[in-house]
Amino acid sequence: MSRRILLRLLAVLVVIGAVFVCVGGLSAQGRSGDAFERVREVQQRHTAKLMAQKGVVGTAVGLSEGGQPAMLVLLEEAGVAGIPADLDGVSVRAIVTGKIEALASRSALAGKGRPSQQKIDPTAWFKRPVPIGVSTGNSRECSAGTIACRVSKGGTVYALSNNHVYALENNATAGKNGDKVVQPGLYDTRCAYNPDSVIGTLAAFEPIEFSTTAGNRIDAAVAVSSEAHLGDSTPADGYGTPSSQTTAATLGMAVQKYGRTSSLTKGTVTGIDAIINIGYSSGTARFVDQIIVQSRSPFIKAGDSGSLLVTDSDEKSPVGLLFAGDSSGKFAIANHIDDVLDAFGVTIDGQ
Amino acid sequence: MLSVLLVFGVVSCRHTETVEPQKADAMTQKTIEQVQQEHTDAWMAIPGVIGTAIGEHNGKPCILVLTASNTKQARARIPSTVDGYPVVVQYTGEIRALTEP
Repeated sequence: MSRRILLRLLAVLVVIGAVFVCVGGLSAQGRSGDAFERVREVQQRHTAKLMAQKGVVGTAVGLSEGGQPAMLVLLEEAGVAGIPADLDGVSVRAIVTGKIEALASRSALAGKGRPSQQKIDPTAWFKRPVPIGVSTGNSRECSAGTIACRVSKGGTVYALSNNHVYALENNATAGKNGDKVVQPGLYDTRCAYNPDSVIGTLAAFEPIEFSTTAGNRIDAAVAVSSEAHLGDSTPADGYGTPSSQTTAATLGMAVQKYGRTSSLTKGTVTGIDAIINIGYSSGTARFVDQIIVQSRSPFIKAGDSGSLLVTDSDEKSPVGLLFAGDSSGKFAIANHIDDVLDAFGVTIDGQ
Repeated sequence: MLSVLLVFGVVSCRHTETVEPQKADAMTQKTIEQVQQEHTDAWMAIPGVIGTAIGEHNGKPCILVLTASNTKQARARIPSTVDGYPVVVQYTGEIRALTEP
């Protein structure tokens, strides 16, 4: 972590600390401690929902401008809409803490147990247009997967991910009035849905046949999005922008992915033409012509479904769409990216 | 359609060029993919076997048989070479779709 960020983080902690000292002092002077207890209750009840909102980085117990016990809502920048003036009779005060501190504070306050040194959290809400490789999901399900990349067809851009991430294992509605897809996925907002999280509308998905004699080739879905909502690169700690030119997987190929749970990881293609049974919540589905990726350290974890598999080279050529793995994460399965792109008639937005 | 492809000695797989048949074995004309596909259904019927794939063993193409349990029993029932191609039984555990939770 850079010294600058550390200093800013310390500054925020000092501000928050000062608020608590202030609160303690006032209590000692005889102000009712029950009032603060009540604020804490309200804070616990509403924090998840508030933090699901765009621009909200945390909450705290403090004082209103008039010196009364209040719940503080910490904001990334001024002018965040939709912060109530009071919640369950407790007054709410919005305080702008700034943007860089926001990520660190948010992680800490969200209780994810991530050290503040970790600058980029792919489970977090990202400023629009969102990067690829971060948390996403269907707005009707409390789960989270990964945005593979941005794809396009005739001037329309789409977010690509798995059927089981966007289309609820065939149970979603696609089309004009299709299900909304969100960033982050609801699992990362404690299941709270906020309309500001929407980045697209489910356009199409390839149905999965849940059978051990099936010949499934892809687990994929696309959602109509826009360049204002979705970018074409990973966060700064990733591989960047994939190539728009795909390449076929070959044995021994060095590959990498960026995903919601394990960020950037690297592995090797150790199997092709795989015919394999994959476990889903709806049952077991046999897939054919799959790619196997292995690594000595975990390559994929729960929540990384939907990650784009690209070559570990300067080209960063897309190879596959990851969707499954074993419990250790050292063994991952991907569809051929060309099968995915052909199914929807799209191409990858890349360099 | 498949029979047409087989006549030309090609399976419906784009990776044929990467895994050539073992020329050392003069007895076989089959590609490794053909051998894999011929045996996959029977092998996947063995308890614990979850899939097959084309991989590499000691730098040479091999058929991988993937298991989630009963690996020893699977090894006992699956020959180590089929039509000249090595067959490697490998434990992987259950493979699942990976959304959170």
